[in-house]
Amino acid sequence: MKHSSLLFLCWLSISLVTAQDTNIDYHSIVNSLYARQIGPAVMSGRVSTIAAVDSKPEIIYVGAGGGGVWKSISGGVTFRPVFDDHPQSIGKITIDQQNPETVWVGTGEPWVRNSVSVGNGIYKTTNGGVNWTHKGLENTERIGDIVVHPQHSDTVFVAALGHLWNANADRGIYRTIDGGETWEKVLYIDENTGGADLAIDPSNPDILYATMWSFRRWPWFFDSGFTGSSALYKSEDGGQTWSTLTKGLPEEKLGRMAIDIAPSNPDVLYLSVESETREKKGIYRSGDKGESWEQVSTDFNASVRPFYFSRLLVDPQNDSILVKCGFQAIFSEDAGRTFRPMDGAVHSDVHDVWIDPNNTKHVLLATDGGVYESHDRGYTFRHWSNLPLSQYYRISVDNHKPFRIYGGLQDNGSWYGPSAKAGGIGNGDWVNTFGGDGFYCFRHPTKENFIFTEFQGGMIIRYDEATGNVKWLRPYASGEEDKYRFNWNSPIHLSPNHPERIYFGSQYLFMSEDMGESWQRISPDLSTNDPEKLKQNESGGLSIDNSTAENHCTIYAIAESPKDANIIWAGTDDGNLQVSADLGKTWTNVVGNIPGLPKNTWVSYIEPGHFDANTAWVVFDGHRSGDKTPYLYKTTDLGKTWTAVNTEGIPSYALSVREDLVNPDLLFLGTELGLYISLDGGTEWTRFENNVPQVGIRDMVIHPRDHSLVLGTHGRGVIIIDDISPWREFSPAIAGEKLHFFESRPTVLRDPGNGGGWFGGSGNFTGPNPNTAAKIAYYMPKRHTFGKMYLEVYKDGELIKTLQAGKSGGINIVEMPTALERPKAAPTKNRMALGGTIFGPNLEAGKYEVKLIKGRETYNTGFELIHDPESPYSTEERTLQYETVMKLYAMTEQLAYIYQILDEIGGQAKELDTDDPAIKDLLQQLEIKSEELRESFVALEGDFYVDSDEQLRERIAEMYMQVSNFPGKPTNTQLERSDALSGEMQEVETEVTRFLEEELAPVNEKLSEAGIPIIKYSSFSEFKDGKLSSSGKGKP
Amino acid sequence: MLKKMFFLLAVVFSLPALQAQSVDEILDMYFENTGGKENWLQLSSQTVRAKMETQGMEFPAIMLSKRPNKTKMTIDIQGMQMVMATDGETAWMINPMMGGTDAQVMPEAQAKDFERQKFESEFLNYQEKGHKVSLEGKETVDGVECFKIKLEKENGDVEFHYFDTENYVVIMYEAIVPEGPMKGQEVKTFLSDYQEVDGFMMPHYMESKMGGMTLQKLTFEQFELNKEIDDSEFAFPKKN
Repeated sequence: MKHSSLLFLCWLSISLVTAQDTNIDYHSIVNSLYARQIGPAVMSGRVSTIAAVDSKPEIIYVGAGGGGVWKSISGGVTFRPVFDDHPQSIGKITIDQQNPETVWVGTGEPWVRNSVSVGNGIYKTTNGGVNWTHKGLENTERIGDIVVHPQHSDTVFVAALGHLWNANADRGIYRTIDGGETWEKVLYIDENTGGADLAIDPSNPDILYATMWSFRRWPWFFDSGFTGSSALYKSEDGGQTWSTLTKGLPEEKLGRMAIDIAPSNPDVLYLSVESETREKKGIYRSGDKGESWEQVSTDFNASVRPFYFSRLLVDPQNDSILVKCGFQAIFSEDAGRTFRPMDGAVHSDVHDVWIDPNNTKHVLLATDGGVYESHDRGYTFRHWSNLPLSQYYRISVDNHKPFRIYGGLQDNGSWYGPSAKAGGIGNGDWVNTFGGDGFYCFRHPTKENFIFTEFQGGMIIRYDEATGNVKWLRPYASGEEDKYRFNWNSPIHLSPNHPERIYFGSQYLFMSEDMGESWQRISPDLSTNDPEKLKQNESGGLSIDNSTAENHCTIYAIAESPKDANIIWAGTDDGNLQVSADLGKTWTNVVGNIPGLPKNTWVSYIEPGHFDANTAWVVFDGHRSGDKTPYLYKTTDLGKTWTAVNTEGIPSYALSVREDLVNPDLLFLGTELGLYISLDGGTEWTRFENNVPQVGIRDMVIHPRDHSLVLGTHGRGVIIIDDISPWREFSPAIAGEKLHFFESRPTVLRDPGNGGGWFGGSGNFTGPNPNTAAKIAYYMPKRHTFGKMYLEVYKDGELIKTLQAGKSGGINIVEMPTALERPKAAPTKNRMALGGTIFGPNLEAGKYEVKLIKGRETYNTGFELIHDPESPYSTEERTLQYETVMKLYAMTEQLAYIYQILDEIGGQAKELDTDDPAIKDLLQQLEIKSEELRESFVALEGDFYVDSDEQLRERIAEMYMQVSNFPGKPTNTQLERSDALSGEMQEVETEVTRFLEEELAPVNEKLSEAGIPIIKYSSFSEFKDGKLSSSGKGKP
Repeated sequence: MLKKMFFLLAVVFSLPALQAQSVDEILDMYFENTGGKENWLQLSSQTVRAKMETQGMEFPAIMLSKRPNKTKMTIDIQGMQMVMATDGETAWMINPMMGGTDAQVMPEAQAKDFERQKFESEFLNYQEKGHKVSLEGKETVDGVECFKIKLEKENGDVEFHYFDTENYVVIMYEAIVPEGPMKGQEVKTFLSDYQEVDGFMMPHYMESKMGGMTLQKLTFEQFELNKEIDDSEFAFPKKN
């Protein structure tokens, strides 16, 4: 046998399985589950860059601050993410307009707010975003601009801003002349000054302009201008040499500047200037290729917050029309002398603008609230509510059915929405609870009309859903106290032991037991209270920026032990980790006990143990000091000693940690670049890749009732992994088994429900619902490649379904649909009747047995289907409904069977060839009679819309639809009508039996006598199996 | 004796690893282990009965193929037969969901896509076909260590095929959707349930996934190899 060598190897590999048991493939196990991204998109999120193809402006790329790259080929009607395998913080997207399938993406957002993420260099696609290749500049952290040479596609210039929080030399202007294979740093100032913006002269691409910016952020301070080396540069030799342009520009310390050249007249350039003197800030214009400049505008938006808004764009057809991004985008049509603001209905904070070169009134804006589109140069805009880029800071869940998710977003307030909804989770399902920048948000577990929410800098609010009113609850310092300092993200914590107890943190910890009506201070200043770090009102450098974003020496994380209500943890942004074991009477700063942790490292997340009161997991985040190490520590003695949890191989800093509620070895680590999971108490970590991109995971919560892991991502909204039970149950002992079934909880049968979306067009986001199938989950140490493997599902000993098996080495989850297949129905030209049989009814509640057949071995398990125990329909009512539906189901199929056999008989009667005129006549009559019979119970005339008839088939379908649509008792009318239809059905069956016996049988006898093949028809089981009877020869 | 056996086992086991230096050696092992290159080259036709599952629905299907480039797939959708076929020159279809029960010539884009399926493995004498093949290293697929082989077809399509490093069978391949609304997206097709059919190792199950979600499951219930199939099966049906 030719394959004997293979069979031998099979045998060998089977015999080696036991030897490989210890080698657990965590990647396969972790990546056996699948996450769903539910949005929201109603408020979208921060978009940092936008680009479109000049020749096909319906092809658009959107780059988000934290949510990756999205592509539309429909002018923004629909989008899909195309960059999910890479860091999601996007700096700049530039399309090679000569070859628009080539697109460059610079990662790392350039709008350097306190919460900004990081990138890892530049990527290129040559096939419109299907595949991306990393093209270097790994350590630039953020990229401000990319310019492609208008004639030579392989020549590309990059403005690399470089690191925000520390000095580094990987910044400046880079050039490649070989399509990104190699890069040359052609303009470099120093390790604090990066490239911010670029412009290339389209008429002479050897001429380039670059703005260089010196800047630095600390956790407590921002300095735009920093070392004073910001300047405007020009090159006239393709970037080889550069000189500064100064004539007409302020002769003082400069900050961030944006530049653009007029494509219709390259002599004209505009520059937004941040400088020391307020009057000298604004927009400057040059009419001589940058040699001299004149200030043309001091509009508020011309110079507001340059670190956040520094983009300007000249109209491709008119050198007097320009748009400057700002708090609002402003439009000038007179060379910058006067400006008008954009449509006030657009979200503030505009980061990028695109103008259609073919129709320059067609404008797109990239804002903190997503993308807006105008067709009248900015007078009116429409929002694209289809980009789920929401940036969560914190999330929580409630115990509603289905559970709801609450959370606060960067510049998009606080919202809650459902985890499931008939027809999917739409934009309209999200409820706003307050505005501003949102952070902690949760529904009170006992006073359910109260939702606690907040906005930046400690503005805690209680929203009463019953009345629609909000009550402000912020505590204020009394005379002898220091002024309260609240972090940008001020922590609010709900006691897991006493639902009436809420904590809130400034530099002090507060506790309220009366819904925030009054606060009791339960700590001294828990921070370092370092006066050097309390200068937020001086922060900003050349442009003072005191937004509370630099508030420092504050509490950032609070957690009460779920095992002991007297144990409270508080972590501060300046690196103190404090614990009290007596409800705040005394505090110990335990950070000094932590080995290997740099001083003053931000405490970003505290997870007290669910199994032991003295255990806690703590995440520290040093990225704001330039330290991107993921720090995770564990204590089991209330902070006296600490173990550094191994995070080797995790590429970026950690943000959040959760210990599972059931299995103490199951841990979840949220990092800036995605979700990591450990199944062995933190020894080994594996990235979860199934629909969780490399996005910042700021918060996570495990739903205690539904076993879901809910992620609050900073750029991709809420992501849910619906049932983490297989991970929970996994242990190295299981890995030694040949096949291990995971325990299955009863699956609740979904009642039909109402609704399911309306005709909103394609431009709205809808989040997917959880899968309602019953799941059969098992672990196999080795992939099944040879031989059969499948599952059989039995009900009361009867085989009801055969399912394909999952074959992976690792965890496999086989889904058993909880609805029967829709009934096989005879054709109809009645649209309503067709609709009636689109869905199959639910399976019966009860226990089901499962056999898994793998080669020669059989493994047994089972699952249970139940009705929602809280539904108002009794078992008797459900049984009556089920029986009625199944009766109609059987009638539908019986009628379809009759239709088919009549069709078969008529067809054969027509095709049979004979010279015998008597037989010919008989056959003709048979054909006519079978058609008459069919038409007696099916409506086959009409237009499938408003001109349609109704026969028995259609009447059964209508009743089937009505009864199957309601899970409780059918109406008396429906029961009576079902009985009546049953009677009609009997009549049809009697007539058909008569036809077969009295008309077909004699003809077949004659045929047989004449030596002609007799007319055959399918059995009911052949009809049910739908086996193709011929080789599939198509009817001409 | 025991020592000798162990030595032999060790040699047999390490032999493929040593040989797995070049892409051609991997492909040779693949053909050797699945039936022999000569036998594959002599295979003249396949008739496959299958069950197709997509979007929660199941359909029986029959796939006919005949050397060199005739293909026909018939799917039974609730008693209605959907057909896609080509005789090597004309690709045609019958789609009762759209356009009734008459045979129609396939739209060009769809035809191009359909005709990408070849009777013979693209790896058989790939040089003669103008394809390029390269070994891209090893990767773990479905918990199995695999050789990753890049196939650059003469028409420009690029696919990645993953061959089990132990048994040299294909565990999975990746291809880019060339046409239609999902154009540009990557589809991964996993192959398993290999069983012997007349001396050939045939996968009896294929599952296609996009972004981790299953698009389609194909269970092959019966293979008939080298059965005579009349050319008229594949020809565009002429109206009577």
